[in-house]
Parts: sequence; structure tokens; C-alpha cells
Amino acid sequence: MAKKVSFEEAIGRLEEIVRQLEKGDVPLEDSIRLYEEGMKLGKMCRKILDEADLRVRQLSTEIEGE
Amino acid sequence: MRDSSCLPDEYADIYTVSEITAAIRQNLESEFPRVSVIGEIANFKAHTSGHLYFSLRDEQNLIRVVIFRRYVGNLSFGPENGMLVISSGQISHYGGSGQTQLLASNVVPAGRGMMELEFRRLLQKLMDEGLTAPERKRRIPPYPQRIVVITSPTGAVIRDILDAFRRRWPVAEVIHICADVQGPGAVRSIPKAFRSANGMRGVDVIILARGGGSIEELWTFNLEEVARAVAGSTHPVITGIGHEIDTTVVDYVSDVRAATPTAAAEIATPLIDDVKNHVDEHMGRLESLYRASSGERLHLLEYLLRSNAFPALIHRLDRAELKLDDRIGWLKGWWEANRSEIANTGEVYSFQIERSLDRLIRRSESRLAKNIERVSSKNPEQFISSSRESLKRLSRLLRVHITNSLDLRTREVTGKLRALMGLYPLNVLERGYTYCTTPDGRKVIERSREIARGDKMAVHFYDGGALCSVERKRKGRPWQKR
Repeated sequence: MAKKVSFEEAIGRLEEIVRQLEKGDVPLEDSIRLYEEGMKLGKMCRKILDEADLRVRQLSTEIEGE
Repeated sequence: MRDSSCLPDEYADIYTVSEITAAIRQNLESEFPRVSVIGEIANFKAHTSGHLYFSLRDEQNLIRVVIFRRYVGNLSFGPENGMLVISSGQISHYGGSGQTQLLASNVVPAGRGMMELEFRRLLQKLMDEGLTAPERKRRIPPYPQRIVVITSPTGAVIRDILDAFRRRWPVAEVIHICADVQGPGAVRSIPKAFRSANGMRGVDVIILARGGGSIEELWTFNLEEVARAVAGSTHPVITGIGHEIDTTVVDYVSDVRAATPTAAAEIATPLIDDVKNHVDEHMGRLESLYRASSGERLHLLEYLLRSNAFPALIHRLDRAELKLDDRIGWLKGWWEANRSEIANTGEVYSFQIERSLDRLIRRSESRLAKNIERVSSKNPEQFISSSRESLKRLSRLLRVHITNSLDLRTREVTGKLRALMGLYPLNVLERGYTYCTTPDGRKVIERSREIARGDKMAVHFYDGGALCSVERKRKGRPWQKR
């Protein structure tokens, strides 16, 4: 996760990890790694949601000098 | 052609029919190059040539109208007698029938009907271009990070939309691009707003919104330029124009049509509490999966214990243990041997001290006896007392000497002990030294004379050992290259 992941990517990956683990054909070693990754993503999502504060920017499109 | 000599003056300018026809046509065409005439259709006739002929009339008058075949395709409706229409074109005069007529390039129904038909015409045109096709509709990202709202700068619409965002999804960043959504400026303002949104990165969705109004007030959203701006948007568009009942052309070309501006904001965003629950639920599932897999790990351990890998492992451990015992055994032997040596060293020293002490005392006694013998003849009383004094002094000196000597020896022994500790054999081996024993490891070989050519001996390294046989022997200094 070098690049900053979007919220959608993070939650999508979390869903994917849970799906994969629930399917049950993940080798044990990988499952621990997936578990850790999933928990990290979940916490990241919670943090974004808990700290949310709507930002609003206003731009004008004056039709100038036409 | 003219004979002016026998005709009155008023006949000076005589036109032929063709001349006057041409003149009339020229005048009419330059006077009325483009006019729109409103009237009711009468005498409608579609000619086999493809041209349409009819008359436009009002209460008193009537004018002929022709629509040439090449313009018929532009019509948004089928003209019929009795329809009130607006015909646009050029006034001309046709000599063949001697009639003045309107060469119409477009005819539209007048009034609201016209708006309705214009709406259908544009919609049909965009449909034919495929701009309303379901497969063109884009997915709206479920968790938008950046939302562009194109609407008027102030008023209820933007307020309602922002309220909805705050309530539902404050995670987002909102860019409100102010635009005219009504009146003559709107047709340029809205496409311009879209152009500026197209240039922005990371926009998940655009909302184009306007509050309710009359069909005329909402007409902006039935204009081709506006519809094309929506259809050509780089980012997905949700339209929320007017009320539930209002549908405009842009609603057909946008990705999602919402009934109202607030509905558009709701479609664009999830409810934050739902998303929190969703995340928590998944983390909970992850936790229980992890617990389950911990149980699984115990099973794995049991499996390993029963599997073939395990005895092999045990065997290796056993061997390592044996080796360790071997080492410890040797070490113990070495230690015992050296310990007695150390103890002996101590005993030797104390024995020597004792002996020298004895000698000293004996010497002193004999000297004293001699002296007593020598002086008894002279002044025995005085001599004895002075001799006693010197004996005392000597004894004191002797005690000090002995104590010092003992201290010194003790220190020496301690130092040696410490050096021996430093030479703890495994430490030495770790530094790269080796030692040799008989092949059974019981006796350490310390000198070259203990071995002969062809003998076997075990060489012990820090990390293992080797069974070697002696090829050659040499006396003197350790082996060196020549």
C-alpha cells in the first residue's frame, strides 16, 4: 500500500479479504497476513468516517467579455 | 421592341411579363430574405416530387407556402390542415403560376405544442446519436470523495444539497460551481461549468440541479447545448431538475435522473452510519475468522506431531543433545583436572611458606641460643633482656613478612584462576582454536609425542568435529609454511 488508497478501494479490499477468508481455501500463512491487512483497512476506514467533516468550496463561472 | 414615337408617355417603360416577374421576385427576395409567418395550414398537399405545398391563412388572407424536399427532413411533425404553425423562409414570386409564395425551410407548431414538439425533436436526435443509451450510463461511485455541484450560487437548492451531504456523508469534499440555471445566460453558463468540472481530477460525481419552475423556466434544460454538455461530461452526472413531474432532455442524457435536487444528493451519497456498520460488521467477521483459524493452528500442531517430519526432528534434537553431553563430559574432566592443579598450586605455596617460616624460626632460635651462650658469661641479666627485645622485634618483622608474602601469593593464585576462567575451552574454540582428543574423545592430546604416524584422533572445532589420521609428524615449533 505505497500509494494512498481511496476509501472505496479500502472498503472494497476489506470486503474481498473477508470473502476470501470465509471461502476457507486460503493457506494458513496467508490467512494471518490477510487478517492483519483487513484489520488495518477496517481501522483506516473507521478513522476516515469518525473524523469526517464536510468541506465545501465555491467556484464561479462568470461568462466574461463574450 | 418598343415604339415610343406613337405611344403615350406612360408607355415609356413597358415590361414584358417575364421582365416584371423577374423584377417582382428580385424586390421581394431582397425585401424578405428571411421571415417567419404564423398561420393556419390549408390546402395541404404532399407532392410526389417530395416537396410539400400548402397555404397559410388567417381570417382574411392567404399565402402559398412551399417546402422543398431537402428541408422536409427538418420537420419535427407532420403538417396537417387546420394546424397553427410558424413557417420560416424567404418570400419569393413564382412566375409559372403568377403567385407570391413563402419558400419555407422550417415549419414548427406554434405555442406550447411547439415546445413539446421541439422537446421530442431534440430528444429523438440525441437518441439517434445513442446519447441516451442505457449502456452509456455510468456507475455512481458508492463512497464519493469529491462531488461537484452545478447550480445557482445561492438559494434553497444548494442549501438543501449541502444539508443532505452533512447529514449523510460528511466524508466528501464538495465543489460548488456556480452557474446560471435560468434565462439567456444559462445556455452558456452550464456548458462552461461542465468544462471546468471536466478539467478537475478525482471527481466522483457531478450533480446538476435546479429547483422547481414553469416549463419556460426549466426550458434551459431542453436546450441542445446544455444537453450536450451533460452527455459529454468526463465524470458521471446526476440530474435533479425541478419537481418529480418535470422531465427535461438532460435527464435522458445524464447517468442518473433524480426527481429533485435533494434526491440527487441522496443518490450521490451513502448514509455514514450504514457505512460505519458495514465496516464494523466486516471487522467482526474478520475477528471471528481469526479465532477460528487459531483453533485450526492447534490442529496443525497435532498433525505435525503425528507426521513423519516430527520423528526426524526429534532425531536431530537427540543427536544434538548427545553431542552436548559429550562436550559437557569433556569439560567436566578438564575442569576437575585443572581444579586440583589449581588447588595444588595453592598447597605448594603454603607448604613453601611454612617451610621457610620454620627455617627462619629455627635459625633465629639457634642464633639466640648461641648468643645466650655467648653472653651468659658476661652480663647475663642485661643481655637477656636486650635479646628478648630484639627477639620480639624480629618476631614482629617476621609476621609482617609472612603476611605480605601470603597476600602476594594469594593474589598470584587468584590471577591464575582468572586466566584459567578466561580460557574456558568453548570460548577458546569460538575464537578459532581446536583441540585434539583420542577418537573416543576421552583423552586430550596435548603433545605431539602422544601420537604416532597413522594414529587416529578427533579434532574438535567450535561448531563440530573431524576424525583425522596422522600423516606426518614434526618436532619443534608449530607447523609453518616453508
